[in-house]
Amino acid sequence: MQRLIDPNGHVTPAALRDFAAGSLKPEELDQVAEHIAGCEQCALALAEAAEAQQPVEAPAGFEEEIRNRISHSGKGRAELFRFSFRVALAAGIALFFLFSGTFHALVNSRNPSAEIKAPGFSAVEKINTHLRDFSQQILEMEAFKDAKKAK
Amino acid sequence: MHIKAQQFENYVAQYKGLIITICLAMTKNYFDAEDLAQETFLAAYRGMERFDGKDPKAWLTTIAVNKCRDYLKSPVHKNLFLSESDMAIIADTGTAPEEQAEKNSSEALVRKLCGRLREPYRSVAQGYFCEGKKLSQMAKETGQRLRTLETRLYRSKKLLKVLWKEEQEDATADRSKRSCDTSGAS
Repeated sequence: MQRLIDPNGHVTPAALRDFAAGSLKPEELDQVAEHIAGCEQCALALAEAAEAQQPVEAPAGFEEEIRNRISHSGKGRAELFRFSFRVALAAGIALFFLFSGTFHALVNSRNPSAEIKAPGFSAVEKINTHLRDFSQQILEMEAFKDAKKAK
Repeated sequence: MHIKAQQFENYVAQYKGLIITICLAMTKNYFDAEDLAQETFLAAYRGMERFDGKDPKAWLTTIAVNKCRDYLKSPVHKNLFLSESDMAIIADTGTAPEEQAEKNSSEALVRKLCGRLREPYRSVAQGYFCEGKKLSQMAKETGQRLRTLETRLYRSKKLLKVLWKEEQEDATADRSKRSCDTSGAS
């Protein structure tokens, strides 16, 4: 069994050559690979060992395939964005109709020309009525307190 | 973003041979190597922003080694199996004598295995791996859509990886059988 790691903790030149040639045993390969994964110096040394031997050629269409795969992944994200936008828009429109429906019904009065104003059913009028009632209650309570004090 | 794309393309052009060599050294399977080399560059593209640009060779080598390690440990690699629809793509051909003789050459093996696929996969695989054609070129020649050819190439690669692995296993079995025979004879 050859020495894979030298005393300095780096991969030996022989091990790098064998690695690049594909002649290390699987356990040896994994051991060296684990070290290289965390050591820039040895990664560079491996690259140089690989370049020193007869290079393997990539297919002619290799670069184009990578470009295609990149553009597909980009398109995927753009499509997701467009889809999300459409969903958000649809939700917004739905909410708008939900809330404006009440206003629509109130505004769409049957007798627009009626002189006598119908009792106010609008939300604003309702709120006003409630507030008036509430403040009236407070006043009555204050009056009650005062009455109590007086006693 | 434009500068990043240009720089990335330079890296691919400059280091594709190196990366495929490393991937082949680790996987011992040309089709695995080609695919993992592509995966390496895709990962590099995604990580370009974080890369300081100091040593692209070491950086790419590290990514490649990690990709290959992960792949070799993955269940996908250990338990490669083909579905029925995959199997339908392989044509039944016997091994002719001249093919036997050429077996040892990697290039010849690539050609042989591509030839084992049925059409329309065979011509895409042969075009891409043996005839030095780009997919866009094949799309123009055949009138097929690029996306169609990409899908065919993807399926072809999946099969070719398995066929290569089987071929290597057969070759190992043959070698050990022959050495047993010769030792038996003496």
